[in-house]
Amino acid sequence: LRHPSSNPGEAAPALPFDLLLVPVVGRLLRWPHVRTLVQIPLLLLSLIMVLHGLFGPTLAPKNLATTLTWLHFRGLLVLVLLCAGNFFCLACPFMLVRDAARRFFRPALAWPRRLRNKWLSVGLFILILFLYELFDLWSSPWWTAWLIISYFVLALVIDGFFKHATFCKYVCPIGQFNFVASALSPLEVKVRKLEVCDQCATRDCIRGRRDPASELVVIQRGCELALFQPKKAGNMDCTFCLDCIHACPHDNVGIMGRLPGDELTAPDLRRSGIGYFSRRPDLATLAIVFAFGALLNAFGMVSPVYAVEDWLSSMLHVSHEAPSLAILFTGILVIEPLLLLAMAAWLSGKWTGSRRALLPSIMRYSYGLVPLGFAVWLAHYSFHFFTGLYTIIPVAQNAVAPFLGEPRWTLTGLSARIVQPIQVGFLILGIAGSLMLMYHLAKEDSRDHPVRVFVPWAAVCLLVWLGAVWLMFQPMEMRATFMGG
Amino acid sequence: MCAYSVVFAVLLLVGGCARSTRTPGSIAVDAKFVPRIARSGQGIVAVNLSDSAARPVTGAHITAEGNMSHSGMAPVFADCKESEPGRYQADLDLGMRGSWVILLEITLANGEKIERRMGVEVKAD
Repeated sequence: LRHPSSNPGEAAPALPFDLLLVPVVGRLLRWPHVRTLVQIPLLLLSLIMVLHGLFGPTLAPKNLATTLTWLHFRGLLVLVLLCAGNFFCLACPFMLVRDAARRFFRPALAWPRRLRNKWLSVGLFILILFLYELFDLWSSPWWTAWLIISYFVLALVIDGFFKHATFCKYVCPIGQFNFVASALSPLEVKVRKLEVCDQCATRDCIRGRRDPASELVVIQRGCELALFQPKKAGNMDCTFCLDCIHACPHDNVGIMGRLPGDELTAPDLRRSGIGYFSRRPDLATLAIVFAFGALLNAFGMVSPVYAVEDWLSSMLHVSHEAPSLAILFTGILVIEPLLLLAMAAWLSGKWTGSRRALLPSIMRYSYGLVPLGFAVWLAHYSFHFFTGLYTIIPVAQNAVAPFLGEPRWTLTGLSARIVQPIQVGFLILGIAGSLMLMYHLAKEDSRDHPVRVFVPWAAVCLLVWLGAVWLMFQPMEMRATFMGG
Repeated sequence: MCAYSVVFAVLLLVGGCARSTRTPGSIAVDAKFVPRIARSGQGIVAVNLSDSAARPVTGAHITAEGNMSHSGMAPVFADCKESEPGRYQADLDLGMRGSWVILLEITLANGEKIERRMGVEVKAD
């Protein structure tokens, strides 16, 4: 692929893969209305899901809301993140509604400084995981529909009052999941040549392209998430909205290929819109919740979780699920990571004589768990996706009966025997990625004794990995005590 | 913990029995799922139909459909046979542990249709 700025006849410099230079796809992505084009079908689909969830069959396997949300959306999301990038944020229907609303109501407020971090979204992420287990959301079309509605309302309210992409950057739990997972995506929105940016005086990629007749009129929005392209590093906080690509007057922003996970090994430089990773305990917590939340979410689908919950309930003498579930969440999302990571940080410090305090060490190495966490999400969600791949056909047939014929309920998906090796493959990739990252970080920390630093962190990775492998081979037990609707 | 993953038994919980309910046409439907073989979800769907005078209702056609609470699993189907007057039953294999919902579609001899739903928990011992 030739770089667009290179002269004919001149030997083009070696450039990484750029999706924007791929015929047809690249042209489509450069089209200023491409985001709306992909958002409209998803908005319509969301509307159908909401209506079917509220008024359709109350049985989850027969409802579009539950089938599409908990099988197809989640499965496709992680697979697209793995194979390409954060394209689901690009197609986010919440933002289409928000943009439409902003034609009438312009937000005037700035998001409070105290909330300009990931703590709120980490809390919401945990809350969603908790509600998912408590109310068995997968089994309730009605509650699933309300979850979708809640997202739309929350996005509208937050971005209705607050400027820029406040909802995406500081609130949306799905967005945070995508930001962390996309650290392992092979594509990244980034500048093609930094020297072109050095010459740029307008900085349209962040300020937006202005009307030549009036500086105050923005004709193409710049990055709403405060990511200044020349200083941006990695996919954190990037929604792939393509605004910077469309705003750049020098056609100097591309969707470039890269080594997945590269941004997690990058030097600790100040990143535009984010700052230093080493000074962001909220980001480190997000990475930890991402990794251990993957285990927790998978754990909720296997038999032993019910035995643990029953045991906790009998110990506490309570009949409601919430207290025992809260203890389980605290154990897996707080106590377990705290113990494991603190132990590893202490041991690696002791063995190398490092004077680094525990917390900075935990923060630094928490990003090493991201590949492993992503692998567990992939293994879990791809299982449901592949084994239930074709179920959308009878569910859709049933929804629009009799136009698509008699529903073929026997259509399901790939056999579990085929999907399990894929799951194992994901888990192997995950542990390999985490170990490589940990070793890279260890080597940076101690050139003389990298193995001494590495071993405790590798042990944490192996423990988590063994837990994940054990979980994946547990027989599933999908229990639901809450049949909404 | 390992024991939980190895030893399983089907437990018929309270939800496994549908209460005897009376339809507008005064037909009482008494349905239950009876485990037949432990450590699996194999069992029998048993349905009793009676009229307002407690006389058995014969000649009905009953289809049982078992669905898991989670999307993505194939449903299981069975046609109930009338073993005695007003007593219908069918073998149903609920292969996976977890929450199942059994839908009963009852077509009476006069063509009247009745639908019933009952929950069954197939879970670890």
